[in-house]
Amino acid sequence: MPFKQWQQKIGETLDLPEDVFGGGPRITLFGFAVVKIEDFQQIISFSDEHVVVRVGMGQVELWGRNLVLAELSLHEIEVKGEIHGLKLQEGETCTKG
Amino acid sequence: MYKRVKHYGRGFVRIEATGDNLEVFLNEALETGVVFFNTRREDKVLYAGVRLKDYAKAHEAARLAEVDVRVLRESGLPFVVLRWGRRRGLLVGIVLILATVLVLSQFVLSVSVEGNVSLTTQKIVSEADKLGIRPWVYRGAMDIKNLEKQLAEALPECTWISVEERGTDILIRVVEKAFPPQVVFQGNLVAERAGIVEELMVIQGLPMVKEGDTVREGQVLIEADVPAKVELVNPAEPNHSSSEITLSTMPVAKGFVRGRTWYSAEVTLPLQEYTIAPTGLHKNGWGIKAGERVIMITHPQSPYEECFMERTLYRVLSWRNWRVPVEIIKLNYQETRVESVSRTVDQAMALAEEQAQSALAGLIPQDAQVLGRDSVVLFADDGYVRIRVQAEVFENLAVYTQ
Repeated sequence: MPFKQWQQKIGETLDLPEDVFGGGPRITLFGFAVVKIEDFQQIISFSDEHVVVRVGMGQVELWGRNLVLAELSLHEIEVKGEIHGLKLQEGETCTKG
Repeated sequence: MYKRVKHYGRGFVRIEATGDNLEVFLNEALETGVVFFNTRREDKVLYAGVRLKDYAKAHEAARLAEVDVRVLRESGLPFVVLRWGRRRGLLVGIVLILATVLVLSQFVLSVSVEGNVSLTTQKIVSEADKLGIRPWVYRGAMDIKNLEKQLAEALPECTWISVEERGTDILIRVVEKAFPPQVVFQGNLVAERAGIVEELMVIQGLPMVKEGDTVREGQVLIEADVPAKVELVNPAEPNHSSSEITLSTMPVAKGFVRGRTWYSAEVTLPLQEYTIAPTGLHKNGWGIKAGERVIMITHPQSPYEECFMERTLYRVLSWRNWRVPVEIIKLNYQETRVESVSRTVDQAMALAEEQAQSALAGLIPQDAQVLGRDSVVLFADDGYVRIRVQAEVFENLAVYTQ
């Protein structure tokens, strides 16, 4: 059994939250106005209507209007504005940056 | 909030980055630990806030990503300190002004006087000056309570003196003594009221009456004489011519005239009388008063047919000169009723005499000697009694004409 599967099994047995053992990002949505993505890897593209970031298991896409990166640090990104859509895409993606 | 304060304290810059590789710039900068705030993009231009300490790293990332970066605005405490550092003259000026105000506030700068009528402000100020209450005296060294006592001793014309520190001003408040009106010896001595002269003593002037005479009110008792001239001869210098001293320039009468006079007081009392008396029942009406407008919430009208009404206003919330323009009003209605009082003739006479005696006591001067009292029942019929009380007194008759 590969290590990742072992990790997941132990996590499930111990009732641990997904972000502790899963290695994936934590995406928090506050209403339709704020999205917080923790544990992201890279910004792929960014404009006031479209934000794409790379996370461990794929990429996260956001659509909206007047999008602003309220706070942007190495592991955390907070996007504010009118959020119209959020799409998660699994798998390796080519990075623009 | 805490974050904002923290950022303000550490300082931050608003940057504008222009170029094709803005994402590369962001990722490069993030790798070096740069934190961006409020990052917005308009086509090929990116606006973001960067902490002051991150600026160099962001600049380096921009160089690697071939992006032009320029600073739009500098904010925060470090920049404020830097700006003030450049305006050293202004800073020194402010510090100097504050220091001057602080130093000057430790001294008395003015002395003011309140409440004086006949005493001049100058006299009070000069007395205070002698005690050490004067401009440019160190306030901390002044013992106000002690100075107050000393000033009161130095100014016997005042009954009360208070010395108060009002900032840099020393306020001296005085209440002057009220002296009794002085008798002006001038003109004739006339009878204050009708009476019989018993004692007469003339010091100056011509006597117009003699003992045993009956005098009317206003009758001249001693007529004023021309001013007395006194010749003074100095025995030590016999050759020196005598000097005349005129004591007064106005004709004046002086002396005492005492005699017997009469005072009387009359009181009429009905045997049956109606009076308004409170019954003891009362009710409160509460309301609000805004300006001239009154809105009563309870008892807008009196609950009693006959009553006294007492109005009390309560102020709600006030601070120094400011107060809420709305007041609470209380109307206290006290029920009254008309009571009839019936008296017998004897009771009415006794009460009337008592009232008349007290009225008479008010008429007789305090220094007069009462020789005898007498009461006369004038009539006691038709439901009324009328009593007159009279007193014979021995008193001073002579007064000066005005």
